[in-house]
Formats: sequence, C-alpha cells, structure tokens
Amino acid sequence: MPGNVIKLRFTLNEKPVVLQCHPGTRLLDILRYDFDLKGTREGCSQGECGACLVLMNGLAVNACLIPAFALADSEILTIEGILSLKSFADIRKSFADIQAYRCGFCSSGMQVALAALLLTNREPNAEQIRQALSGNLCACGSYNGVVEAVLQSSSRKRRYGRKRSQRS
Amino acid sequence: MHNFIHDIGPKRALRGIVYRSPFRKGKVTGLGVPALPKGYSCVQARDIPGSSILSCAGYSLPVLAKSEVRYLGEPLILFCGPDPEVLAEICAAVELSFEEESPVEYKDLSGPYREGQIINVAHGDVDLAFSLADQIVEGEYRTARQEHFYPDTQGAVADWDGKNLSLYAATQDPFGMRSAICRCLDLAPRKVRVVAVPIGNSMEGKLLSSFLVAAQASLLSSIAAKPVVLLFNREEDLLFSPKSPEFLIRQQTALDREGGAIAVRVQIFMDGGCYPPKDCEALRQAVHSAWGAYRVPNLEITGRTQVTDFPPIGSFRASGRAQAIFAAELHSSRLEEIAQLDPYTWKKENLVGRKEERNKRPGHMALAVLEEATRISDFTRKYSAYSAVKKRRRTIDQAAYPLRGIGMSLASQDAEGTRECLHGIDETRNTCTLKLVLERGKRVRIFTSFVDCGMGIHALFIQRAAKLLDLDPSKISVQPVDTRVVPDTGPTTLARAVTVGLPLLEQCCRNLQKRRKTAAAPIEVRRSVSLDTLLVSGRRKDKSKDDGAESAWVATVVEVELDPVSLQSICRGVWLVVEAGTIAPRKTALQILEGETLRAVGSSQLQEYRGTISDGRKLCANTDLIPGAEQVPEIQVHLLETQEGPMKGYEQLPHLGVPPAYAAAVCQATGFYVDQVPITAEVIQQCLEM
Amino acid sequence: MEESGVKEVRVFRPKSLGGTLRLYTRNPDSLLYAGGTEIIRRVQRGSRRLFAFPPKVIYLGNVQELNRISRSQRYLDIGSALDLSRILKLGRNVLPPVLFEPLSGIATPAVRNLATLGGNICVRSCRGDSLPALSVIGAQLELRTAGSTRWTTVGSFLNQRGRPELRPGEILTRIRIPLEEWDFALFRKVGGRQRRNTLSLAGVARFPKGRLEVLHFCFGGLKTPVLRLPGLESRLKNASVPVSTKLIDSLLADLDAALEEEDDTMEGRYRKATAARLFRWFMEKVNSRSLELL
Repeated sequence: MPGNVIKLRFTLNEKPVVLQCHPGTRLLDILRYDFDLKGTREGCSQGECGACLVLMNGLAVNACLIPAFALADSEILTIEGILSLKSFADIRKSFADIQAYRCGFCSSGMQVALAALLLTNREPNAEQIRQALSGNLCACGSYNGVVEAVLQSSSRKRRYGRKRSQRS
Repeated sequence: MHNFIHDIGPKRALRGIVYRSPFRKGKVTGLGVPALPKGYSCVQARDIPGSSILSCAGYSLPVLAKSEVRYLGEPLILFCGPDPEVLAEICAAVELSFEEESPVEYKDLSGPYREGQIINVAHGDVDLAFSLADQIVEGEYRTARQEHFYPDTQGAVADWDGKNLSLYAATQDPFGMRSAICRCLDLAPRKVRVVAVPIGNSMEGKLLSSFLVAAQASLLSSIAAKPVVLLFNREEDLLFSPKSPEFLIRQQTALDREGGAIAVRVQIFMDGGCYPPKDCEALRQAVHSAWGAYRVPNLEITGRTQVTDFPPIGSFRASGRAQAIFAAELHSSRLEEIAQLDPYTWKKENLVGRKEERNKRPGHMALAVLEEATRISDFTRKYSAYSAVKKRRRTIDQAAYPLRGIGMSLASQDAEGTRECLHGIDETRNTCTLKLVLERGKRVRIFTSFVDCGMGIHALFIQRAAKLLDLDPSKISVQPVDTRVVPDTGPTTLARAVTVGLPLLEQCCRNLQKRRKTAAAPIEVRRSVSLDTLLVSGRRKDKSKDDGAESAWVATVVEVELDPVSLQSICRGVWLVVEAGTIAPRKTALQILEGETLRAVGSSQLQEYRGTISDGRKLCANTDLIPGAEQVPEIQVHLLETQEGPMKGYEQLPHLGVPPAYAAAVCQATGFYVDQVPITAEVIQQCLEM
Repeated sequence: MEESGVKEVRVFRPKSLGGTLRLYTRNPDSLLYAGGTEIIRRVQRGSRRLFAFPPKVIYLGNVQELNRISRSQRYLDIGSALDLSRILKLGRNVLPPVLFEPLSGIATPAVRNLATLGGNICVRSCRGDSLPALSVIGAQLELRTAGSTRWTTVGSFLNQRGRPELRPGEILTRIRIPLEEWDFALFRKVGGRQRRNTLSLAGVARFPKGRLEVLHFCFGGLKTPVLRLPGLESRLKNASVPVSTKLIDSLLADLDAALEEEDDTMEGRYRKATAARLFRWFMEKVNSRSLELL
C-alpha cells in the first residue's frame, strides 16, 4: 500500500467501517465528506468552539483535532448516531425538549457534549451542565435555555422515578 | 438539524479558492497564473462580464482588484477545480509583481485624513450658548473595531447550467444578492435564482461579504460551466471579512450655573476603511443618535467618515447608533457627577428637557423603562453603596473591599431608522411584497423573502397568521426562500420584519378571510407597500421634536466586579427593561434579548479586533468575543408591554444599552474615567498608569 | 507543478516503549504525536483538508508504558502520553491540589480528553499551565533514549527561552510527582482563554512553629516562560509568618527588577504589573493560611 494511504478500521455509529485515506486526513472531513455526516460542523478548526464534537470511545473530542491515524479501532459516535440509535434513547429524552437553540449551528456540538455528560451522570446540576458545555460556543447566547431544559428534564425524571417506586 | 452552506452542494461540484494580495497597499504590475491542469479554471478582473464593483447597503468594493490593492487579502484571482489540495498548490504557484506602498498608520482617527461623507445637524445657536456657559465639559470616546463573530463561515454554491444561474447562499437579502449578481455577470434577473440557506447569528456582519463570495462563486461557475462551492475557512473569514469599524466621538457640553446642559457639540469620526461608503446609513444613524435620549436647546453634530487604509467595512450591528449612544451615555455620566445627581435622576430630568419644558409631552416610555430598571436592579441603593466605597478607597490594587460598580443607560431603537435600514441597496427595488396562499386542506403558506436567521421571524409570522385566520399553527408554513418563488419583501432584520412584514401579513390575512367566504382554495393574496412611502413619512419628522413614542426603548443596568489582581471586569448582573409595543411571542423575544445581551456583554469586555494595519496578520481571538457557558452573568429581561401600538423591532437594544452601562459600572468600580469599549484588563492597566 | 500536493506521511504505531525508543533512534526526524492538540494547530493548512505532517510520525497513543499511572507511598508516576482527563480522575486527594488546579483549567473538557501532560510540558505555548506547579513541588522528568535513562527537574529541562533541552533520541516518558504534605499550596491563573496575556503563579509552603521553613513559588507565562526566583525564595526562608508588609514590599522591588526584560508594550506592562499584583495577593494568602494554623 502506498505511504499516502492507510486502511482504517473503526466503528462509526455502532457499525464497523473500513476506509482508505491519507493518514493526515481530519476526522471532521472523514465524517462530512466520506460518510456524508454533516451534523458534525466546522466552526473554528482549533478545538475551541465545540461545533465538531463527537464521542470517541465514550469521550467527547473535537473532530477537527483528530488525524486519521489516531482513529484505528476506535468507536466514533456522531450526532446522527446519538439522535437515532436505540442505545441513546434514554439520553435523548434529556435534551429532546430543548427549544433554546436559535440559529442551530452549535446545537449538534452541544448535544454531543450533553450526551457525554449524561453517559456518566444522569442527573447533573446546573454547574455540571455548564462545565460540560464550557467547550461549546454559542453565538446566539442560548446557554441558559439549554441548561434550564436539561435541568427540567432531570427534574421530571426524578419525579417520575419517585412515582414508579411508590406504585411498586 | 438545519443544513448550513457548508452542508450542501452537489457531489460533482468543483471547489473554489481565492488568491489574495499578500500586500496591504500598492499596485499589481504583473500577475502570472500557472498553467492549469485539465478541469481547472480561473477568473481575473478582466473576465468579469458586467460591473466589477459590488454594492450592498451603501457599501461598495471590487469583486476582484484590477491593479490597485487597498487592503491585505484583497481578492485578485479566483480558481476552481475538483481537488482543494491542487487548488492550494496553484495559488502557491501564482507569480505576483507588485509595487508596494506604505499604508498610512494612524493612532488618532480624527487626524488629517481624506474625508469621505460629512453630515451636519444643528439646531439653536451653539456658539452663543457656549460663550455664555458657566462650565464646559469635554470628553473623547472610542469604540474599537470588532469582529462580528458568526459560527458559520462565509460561503456560496453557484450552478450555471449554460442559461441560468442558481445560487445558494446564507444571506438575509436574497433579492439584493440577485441584483448584485445580475450586475456583475450582466444577466437579466429572470436568469438568476437565489435560494437562501439557513444563516447563523450575527448576520449583519455577513451582508457585504455574503454578496462578495456569491459573486465570486457565480463567476467561477459561469467560466467553468459547472457547479462551484466556494467556502471560507475560519482563518480566512476572520482575516478578510469586513469588521465593525472604529469610531472616535468628541462630546462638548456647555452647562449653566445649575449644571443644566444648555448646548451640546458632537464630532463623530468614523473609520470608513479603504472603500468608504458614499452614502453611509451608519453615519446618519450615529449623527441622529449623538445626544441619545436627551433634549438640549442648542445642538450641533458633525459626522465624518474618514478614508483610511483599514480593510473595508460593511454593515454592522446597530449601525452607528450603538457607537453614538455609547458616547452620549458615558458623557452624560460625567455630567451626572458634576450635577451631583445619581444617574436615574439626571436622566429623568434631562429626558424631559429643561424644567420649563416639562409640561410638554415626554418620551413617556423612556421614563417607564427607566423606573422599572431602577426598581428591579435595586440600582439606587447599590449605586450609593458603591459610591461610598469608592470614596474611601485609595488604590484599586490594594482594595480592602470588592471593587464593584453599577451603571445605567437609556437607549432607543428608532422604528423609522430600521425601516430605512438597508433601503437604497438598489434603486429598482422600491416595493415590499408579501403573499399568502390558502391551499386545499385549509393549509396556508406564507411567501416572503425574509429569512429566519435565528430571530424567530418565521415563527412570529406563523403565530400571527394563525391568530388572524383562526387556524392551528401546524397548518401554516413559510415557503423556503427562493427568488423564483417568493416575492421581494426586502432585506431581513427583525425590525423590518415587524414594522414592514407584519403589517403586510395582517393585510393579507384580512383579505384572505374575506375571499375564502366566497372562493374555493387555492386562493392567493398579495399586499405591497412602497418604500418611498415609508421613507418619506419617516424623514418628514423633525428629529429635534421627536418624542420617541415610536421607538423601542431600553433601560439597562449592569453590575460589575473588578478583579484587583488581573484587572479583569466580571459582569455580576444585567437588567434590561424593554418597551417595544405588543411583543409576541414573548418567549422568543426573551430568548433573543437574553442572547443578544450576552453577546453585548462579550463585546464590552473581551478582545477587540487587532486588525490594525501594522498587525493585519494577527488573528482575532474569536473565542474571546463570545462568553462561554460558565461566564454567563445573571441576566434579567423585563418586557413592558403597551397595548397602544404595534410591535417594534428590538433586537438591537442590548447592543445599544449594555456597553455604556458596562463602562459606567467599570468607572464606578475603578474610579477611572474609562472612555472606550471593549474594556479589557489592559485598558484598566493603562488607566492605572496615567 | 505537481499533479497533487499531497505529501507522503508514514505513521509508526509502536505498542511498547522499547520499540518506540528504537524507532525514534532510527528515525530521529520523526514527529512524536500523543494527544496532538497543539501540534494540530501548527499543521493546519487553511482550506486544505489534510494536516501537513512531516514525512514520519510516531504515534504514542498505544504505547502502554506512556499511558499509565503508578503510585508508591512517595511518588506518583504519570505516563507522558496519558490524557489530562484520566489524570484528573485521580482527584484532589491523590493529585497535589497545586497541580490539580492548572490541569483542570486547561482548554476545554473535550481537549482535555486528548491533551497530555507530556505535551503540556514540552510545548512552548503552554507555559502557564502545569509547569509552574510541577516546578514548585519538585517534580522530576524521566528522559529516555534506547540506551539511557536520566531524570531531570523542570528547571533543568527548559532553557531560558522555555524550550525543552532534549538530547538526540530522547523522549519524555514519565513525570514523577512527589507526594508531600504542604501547609499551603496555591495555583492561580489570570487571563481568559486567550493566549496573549495569561499569567500564572504556583506556590507551596511549610511553616511549622510560625516560621517559613520553605516557600517555593513559580511564575508561568512571562517573557521567561517558567520563572523561579531563588533569591526571593531564600529571603523568605525562615522568615516569621505572617510575613511583614515591609518584607513583602522589598520583595516586590526585587521582583520588579527581575521582570525588567518584559517589553514596553501595553501587554508587557500589563504582564509585569499583574505579576506584581499576583505576588502580593499570593503573599496575603500565605499570611492568611499561616494565621489559620497558628
């Protein structure tokens, strides 16, 4: 195989994939152009705005900072996977009701950051939510609305949880 | 999930790239384009079939420079082809011969430069009043050039099929774009179709540059006879997109023995950039807002655009008004001190004019917002407390108590001004039209050229139509904006949508209600209004007698705390009280106002764009213009609703109110006269050194 | 002109440290790549989609020895390629607080999932983060080649300009953190996420029986990127606590002289003045803590 091209095997949205590409290709471009997954957006190309967040082995990372050679055998989850996979149904409930997004450009990055948080903490408080979102820039300033929506969703889950246990 | 401009484009599309001048100023004496591989094309200025000058909202600049270069990064050649790597290599292989000139560096915007436009406004006898003054107060205020940070970088997709051009662009003015492209490519309007793609926030900063990138993509597509995608990366966008220009404003106020203002003289210097606008709406807005919300019997205002060697400016947020109100409000805080009045009292007394004029009808909405803001923020108590602490303090870097301050401002968004805003883009566009179609199945579709752009405009229209037509909102939709399908309602701003679009929609709804009683679906209704009618009625008013009843008002209170080690100001709270008619939907308005307030806080305290000539290559730290999730202060927005009038535009209000209130709060916290924005830690350090 | 500008890049993916060292000896012009969060910015090329890596890259992400933590009673050994998030999971009770603070403030949560302590030490633009803290607690850095191992301190590792002094074939492999008890430990960073004007100060102290047995402090982010001032530290040794205002003022005068080389731009003056304010604030905190303990 020529040195320009490597053969990559990794898991994308719970499906194994194989890709041949230059080792210096950005994960962001692999997702957007090789797999047509446009939800991962390019905002700053410097890992500062969070528009390109994906889950890599369960952790939120900036796809604009990852070269192809670092992907081998990884599990990558994009916003498309988070919004559609059954395994994320429960997590989706926590941010399904968010109507705070205005232009929507940052929304996919924010939801990946929230998913990463909710994977380890199903009832985060406001400070924890803000910290999780600290790597996401929203030019419309919709942070408060997002935090509020996730908190309300957690609060609904807590109430529902109590009712269930009372019944049983 | 929306599809932004970066998300669309046919797979067979070519990619475009712009070769830019590496020099700041001078003349191109030779341009050697390398031999192009098959499938690659290029466009130079001589290839432009129509006008090589692009005009938008009063601003003009070349699509491609011919020989004269006026700014770093000015486009010289366009290339397109299948492989971006190859395109980058082609650009690197261009041979450029250049006679470089030294750009003029300036530190003082009022210095000896060529003047562009001059606007003078005066009433009374200012010279006489100054000669009789007991005291004259002077101040100089600067608002820096700033980045319009938007998350989605500029781009366009153009597809020329040999006869017609389809253009996909993130623009708030698709018909304006169509006109500009037609002039550039020398095409009839029926041959050009513009489809508006969802647009991220801060669209004002994109108006001119969206037209430019669209023209460039169109030229490439017409030469290559294939679709072309031209997208800027973040670095390119930050370096080369138009910025909000610098303003320097000098205020002089003549006071009588009681400390009342008897005359005001204002000089406004606006950096017009290297391609200054000939008829600058921003300068006009600045001149007409120069003494803010206050009356004075003698007033003289002179505004100038200076022709500088700074890169081109374009339309920008709150269009000159924000800068003028910043200066007026900050200057008034000096007058408050001299008069030994707290800000609320001073503003109240001066809003109604001199004592003998209090019987005349005041801008009563202004008083209402002022009173409410004072109440909800506990302004009076805090102001007194922080003033007392300030008096006891020796130096700020050895303060025993937290360094806190609270500031207040009063501002209005002129309803007429926003109707004027962006008018005059194209003399052939004199009419705004909106269409409504009742389809079978009791579904209604709204046809307008207003895009949504995160301002909730489409939701507003749907809600209003649902109410008037007694239909469920789910039965109403807005047609995707495509110039082949929708009529020209004019360029989008929230203010125009509510002051022009909503009345048209209401008329359409009423007409539709009548017609549906007798006719069967589908039924189409249209309503239009002439812009001349709106413009003339707006300009007839004597601004000096304007009581502000038609404006939207905001009173803003900002509380800050200064870190005595880093000298960074931290915003503790912002209270906004807004009066903008009967606002609906409330929730959307509150979200928009809160979001814009956060942006305004960011632009008051964070990085200014270091795009001066000497460091033109430095990147603006874009992330430092937008506060993050952990930096959000407490923001309270109250809407004062009146049942007296229609909804007014309000989206600019935070950008008018927050910066001067922020600066006034920092002044109280530090004890310094901070006369510029943004107020960074380095600015406070400079004050300490003085 | 080439048909394509794509350069060939060969990526090595060793799994062991021994293999890595041998590879690096044979290919000394290779780029060592772990988290890559700073390297990536330098190999960005505008609108091009490919990073402009040099012809050879050694990817350290799979090297076991560089990606683990080991702990003894006296030391914590952290692999240089371990990402910051995993280091931070140790918590404040294990990781010295003076080091926990700077690491938890680096960049964003997503970047911390990639960035490594080794990268933070070796990359010049990161001087205000971990290095001041590592310096004051006496951290040691293990540097290895295929045939040698040596340990050095932070102060010896960096030259005057803040660049790492590595011998041919050397790789930073471990960071050894002494697990000592301090009466006082503090880290503060001022400035936002912008890189222009961030400054930091880390300090630790012990003051048994009302005397400063030892006080170490270190600035990050000044013109000398990692600045220890042993002269000032020795003046404070055995001083009684709380430290007198007179002594603090005298130390500030010395500090002012030590910062003479800061440039005379607005930013340089800001950094110098802020360093002085930071030091005064630091000494006030030392004094408060000493009063608590007395």
